[in-house]
Amino acid sequence: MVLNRLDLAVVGTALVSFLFFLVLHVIVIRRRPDSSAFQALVASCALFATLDAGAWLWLMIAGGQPLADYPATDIAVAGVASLALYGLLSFDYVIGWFNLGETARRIRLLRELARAPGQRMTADELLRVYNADMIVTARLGRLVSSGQLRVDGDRYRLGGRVFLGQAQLLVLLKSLIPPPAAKH
Amino acid sequence: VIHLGSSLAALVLVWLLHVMWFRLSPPRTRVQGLLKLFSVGFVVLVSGFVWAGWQRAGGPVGGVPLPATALVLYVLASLAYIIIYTAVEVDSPSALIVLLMRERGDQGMTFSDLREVLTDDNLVMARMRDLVAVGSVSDTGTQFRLEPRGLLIARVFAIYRGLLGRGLGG
Repeated sequence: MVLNRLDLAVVGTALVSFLFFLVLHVIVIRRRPDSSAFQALVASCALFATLDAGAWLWLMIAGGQPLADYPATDIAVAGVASLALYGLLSFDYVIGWFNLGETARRIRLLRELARAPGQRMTADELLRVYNADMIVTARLGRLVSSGQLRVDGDRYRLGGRVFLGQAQLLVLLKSLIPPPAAKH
Repeated sequence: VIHLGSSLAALVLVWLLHVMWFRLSPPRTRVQGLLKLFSVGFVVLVSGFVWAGWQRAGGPVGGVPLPATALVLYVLASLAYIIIYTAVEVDSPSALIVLLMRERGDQGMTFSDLREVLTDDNLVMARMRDLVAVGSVSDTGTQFRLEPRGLLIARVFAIYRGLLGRGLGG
């Protein structure tokens, strides 16, 4: 297994793009606290994906150092691989980390307990500060603002297909690998 | 390209093994089982690349030599799948809402309709029982008490959310 400049450039550009994305999304979310975090993430991620793709395209077309001795086709494959790594890094961060802080009920429960006197609460105290009304309200708000639901008076209806598609994919995965027991 | 192809082939193979294993004899701690399975796949992939490198006497394998890229791709894709898999074990309220909306069609649902299905017990207390089961919280019978492991997670997320200027979330 021999590492080479092209290989290191793929991993390096993906990592650098991802680090810039991390910095930018923090700045955008902090400066625009009232706007959608999802939109800030998508815009920040797309910006550095475009820059990453542009850099590889420039390398392929213009050639030159430091990858002058690689043919354009190799550089094109490397560019696609770099974008794939960057996309996966961003996906893992957004879904596996950002989303935990944003939507995970377990994290919210731990934070509520951490704020409570003596770090302990009864079930009633807990449900006063975090309950199903709050959870359903927050989800409906997010689904409406992202266009996945539309609201007409007091009635909600399906508005988009993206999140429904993801939910159906999970149902399919569950039919392939049945979960241990139904949990909500 | 062979490096990238073998990485994707390893992912598909490990996924098929995972489906068979979890259907026939699922491990007690499923996410840990999945981590172990993908780790074995990683070791096999590295061994394959080292072996291929020796066979080719240090020359590039398949035109574009990208072993590090292929390994990072494997790790990140494995992680992405494990993250998705955790959603199989715990129903997301948002997913439940859109699936319920689809069932109702044009009739749609009101907040009250949803609350009849999504209760405090299945949305909040079920998650609390999970936290007790993994030792992040203890149940004294009358109260829930935060344990050091849970406190650490709460503090890490408090710092992270503070950096983003976001609230409690959830």
